[in-house]
Amino acid sequence: MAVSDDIRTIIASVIEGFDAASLGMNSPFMEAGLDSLDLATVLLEVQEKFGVEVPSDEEDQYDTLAKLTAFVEANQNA
Amino acid sequence: MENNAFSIQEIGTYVPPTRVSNMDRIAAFDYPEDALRDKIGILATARKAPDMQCSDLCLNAWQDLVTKLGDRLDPQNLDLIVVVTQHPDGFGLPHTSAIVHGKLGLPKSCFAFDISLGCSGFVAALATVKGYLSATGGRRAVLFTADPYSASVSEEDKNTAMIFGDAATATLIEPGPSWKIGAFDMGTDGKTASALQRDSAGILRMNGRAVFNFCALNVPKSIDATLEKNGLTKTDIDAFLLHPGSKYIVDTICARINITPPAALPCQHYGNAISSSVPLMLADTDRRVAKTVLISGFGVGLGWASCILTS
Repeated sequence: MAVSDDIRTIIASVIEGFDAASLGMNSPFMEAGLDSLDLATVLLEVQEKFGVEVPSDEEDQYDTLAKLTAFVEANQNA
Repeated sequence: MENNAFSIQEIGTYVPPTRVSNMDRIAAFDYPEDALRDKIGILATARKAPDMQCSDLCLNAWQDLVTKLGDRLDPQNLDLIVVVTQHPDGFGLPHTSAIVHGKLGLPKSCFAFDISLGCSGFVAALATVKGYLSATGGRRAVLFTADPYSASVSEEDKNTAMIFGDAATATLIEPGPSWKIGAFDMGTDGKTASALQRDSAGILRMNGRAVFNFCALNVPKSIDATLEKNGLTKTDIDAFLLHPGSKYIVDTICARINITPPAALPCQHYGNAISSSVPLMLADTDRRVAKTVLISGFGVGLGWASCILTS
């Protein structure tokens, strides 16, 4: 499964009723309905699943599915 | 376990009557009401009177302990008092416990010291008190928690103003049948120390995501370790009393250890009272029903402390 699909699955599991399949690759998470607490959980689960670490002062840089996917793919086996 | 084990005999509490409503704050903070209810889970925060200091809060909790215990509490028989705070009286020297000692007229044979810890403070101090009494042959201690964060919180900072409330507790610890203090699990991740700190202006600053990550990753492991150290499993626990940092954090931890979260935070009407949070929840717990209790405090440090109490 592609990284972006895994992240969509994580988002859907974190936010009950959220239609993650329709989340655009370039739609900012916050505009799509996630709040900062939702995003904290998503990032934590992304870190745990892929073995990466999103620094605590850099989360704003990965505010879309496209950016977060690119970060994971670049750092997954680093 | 024997009936002369060090136990929590009674807990006196004090929550200042003044409240600041978060329902009034959310408009100014442009914060959604459903997120306030479902994620922060705190509807109002308690605020001490401006001229009250840490020792004053301790004395109010002491008065409640006296009311609950009557003649069973003899100040002349205390071997130790401890104050858990990071907001001591005055400029922090002398230690606030010495000031409380003087105000209560305790005997010279009663030692007094402070412990500088935040939300893990009550649980960690139980270990300190138990160890002190065991090492010195002492029998009886009162453990105070009083950390008036309103002295550091900016009422303009939605990350902290809607969470932290002022309160105090006074816990009598002596040999007895209930709740006996069991084995502990504690730890610190000092690399995350700056996630919850006072800045150069004396204002409390919190990195919410760093605190959340710390709690979600470490507290479930601490709960498992505490159960193992006490030879118990989750099904043996009558009540999990987890520090109410926020409803979202408590719900996340409960999901990760597969237990049902509380419908509402016990502190929803006065706020996260730092080291007083766990003893305030204990004081409202019926020990005849909750015979085996897991308590866990976590936060500033960032660190955690967990323990089992049994009847």
